[in-house]
Amino acid sequence: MDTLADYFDSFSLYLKTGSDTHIRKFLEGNRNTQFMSIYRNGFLKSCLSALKANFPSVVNLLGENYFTQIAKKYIVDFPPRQATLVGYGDTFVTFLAKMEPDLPYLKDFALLDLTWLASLNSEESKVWDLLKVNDMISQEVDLSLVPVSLVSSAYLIEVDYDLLDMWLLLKKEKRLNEAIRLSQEKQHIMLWRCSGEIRARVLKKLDLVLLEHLEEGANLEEVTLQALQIEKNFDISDYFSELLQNRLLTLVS
Amino acid sequence: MSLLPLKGLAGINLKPQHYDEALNLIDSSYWFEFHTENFFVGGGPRLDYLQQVAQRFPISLHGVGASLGNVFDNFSEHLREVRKLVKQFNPALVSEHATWSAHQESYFADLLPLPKTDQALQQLCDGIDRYQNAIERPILIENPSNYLDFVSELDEPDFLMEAVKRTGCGLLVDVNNLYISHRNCGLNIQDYFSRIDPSVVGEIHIAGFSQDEQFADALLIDSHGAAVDDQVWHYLSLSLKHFGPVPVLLERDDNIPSFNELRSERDIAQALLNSFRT
Repeated sequence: MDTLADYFDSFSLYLKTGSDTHIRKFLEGNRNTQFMSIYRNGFLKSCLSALKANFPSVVNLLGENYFTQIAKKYIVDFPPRQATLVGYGDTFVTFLAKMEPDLPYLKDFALLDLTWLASLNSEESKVWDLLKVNDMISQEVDLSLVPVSLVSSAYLIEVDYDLLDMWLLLKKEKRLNEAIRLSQEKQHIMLWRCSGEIRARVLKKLDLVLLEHLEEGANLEEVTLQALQIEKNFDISDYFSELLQNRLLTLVS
Repeated sequence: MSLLPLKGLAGINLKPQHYDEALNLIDSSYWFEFHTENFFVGGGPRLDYLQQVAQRFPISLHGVGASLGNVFDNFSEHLREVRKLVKQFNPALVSEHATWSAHQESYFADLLPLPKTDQALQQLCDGIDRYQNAIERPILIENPSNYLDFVSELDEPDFLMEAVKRTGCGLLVDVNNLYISHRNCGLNIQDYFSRIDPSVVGEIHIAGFSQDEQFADALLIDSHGAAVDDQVWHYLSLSLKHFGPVPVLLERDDNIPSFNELRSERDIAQALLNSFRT
């Protein structure tokens, strides 16, 4: 027979293109060579199923049939590069932007789906909670100087449309009872995991500045100074308390 | 490692929709299989559930993506993930497939057939060796479903037994795959059994198949989307007679029914195992 490498090249070519010209020479017996289609169908079906699971709002927005058409093209052009489909579709956002210029908000829905998944499966962080804070206070630690960061499940993203509410609906509902109305207005959104569930919220300018500083590992004093430049009456204690309640902070070791 | 840590017990491959019901089971004779690659995540509810199930029941990690017959560019990274899971959860069984799934940078998310040649055998053995070295324990490798015959120098049982001999791995005999290969390619199942050394068989899989939409019963597909067929139950019985009461695992990955329905099927397998206990 030809080399094993030739076999894998020929089989891979068939899976990607459907052309069986090269793989035929490796077949034996009189079986129907059209049966090869089972392998290509299996490849496409598994990847399609993963994309549907990973991008539920896009599926619900486009409908199953149209999503399937687009997704199959993506699968052939960008097959998975890791031997797991858990996070398959990391380039689907940019692919959609190119494929569907008439639906410019589509990539934003896809980005939210992808970020939700990344947050859900992100590493556990040691959450800085009220118990630990009290413990540090009892040891007379100056909390304002302690470097902190956001937990690893916290993601800050920017989208071009004000679509968080619509996305939350589309993620769960196959059909919307109302027409889609979106404004082209940038939104900054944070997603994070709290007690096993993903939470999402729109960020105001002040939130964004503070959270970006925290993401970089600033301490609370530095964060407060930044905040005071935007809002004169900023009170770090309320803000700090809210961050603790939402299990968003971790200590930088 | 003994290849029979779950001797005489039947299990189910556990899907997320059944996690809570599984955790409420009182019957401790159950064991559960998980697809290894579904847990290549940093954290979150998936790993939490796996941890909870593993604390209550024996588990098996069944790989579907290592592409042992044609290791790919990210294979070392893949093995690091598997090793991490094996160390963390200490599964009773670890298994993979005698197939390929990836080539160069592309992963095809399917269990693709290897030509049964010396060259392919050596490449498969190299993959098994690397996998076993990475996790520091032997694995079981599963026979594929066959839809077409590809060029071969060896028959499938000889191919697999040679892989066992060269690498020290064991075999996971998938009876549903054998039945599909019998119907699709004329494989003789009884002859197949007779050429497998019973001492290397560490697990048996059963599942349901479906007919191809285009070719109907001329092409059976390993869909795991239906109840176990009567013929597969028949061959399970024969396999237990031949291999002894090795652990049996019911697979269901599509058209997933209620947990109780799966339990009923699993209990049939358990009753069969009980009848073959010595």
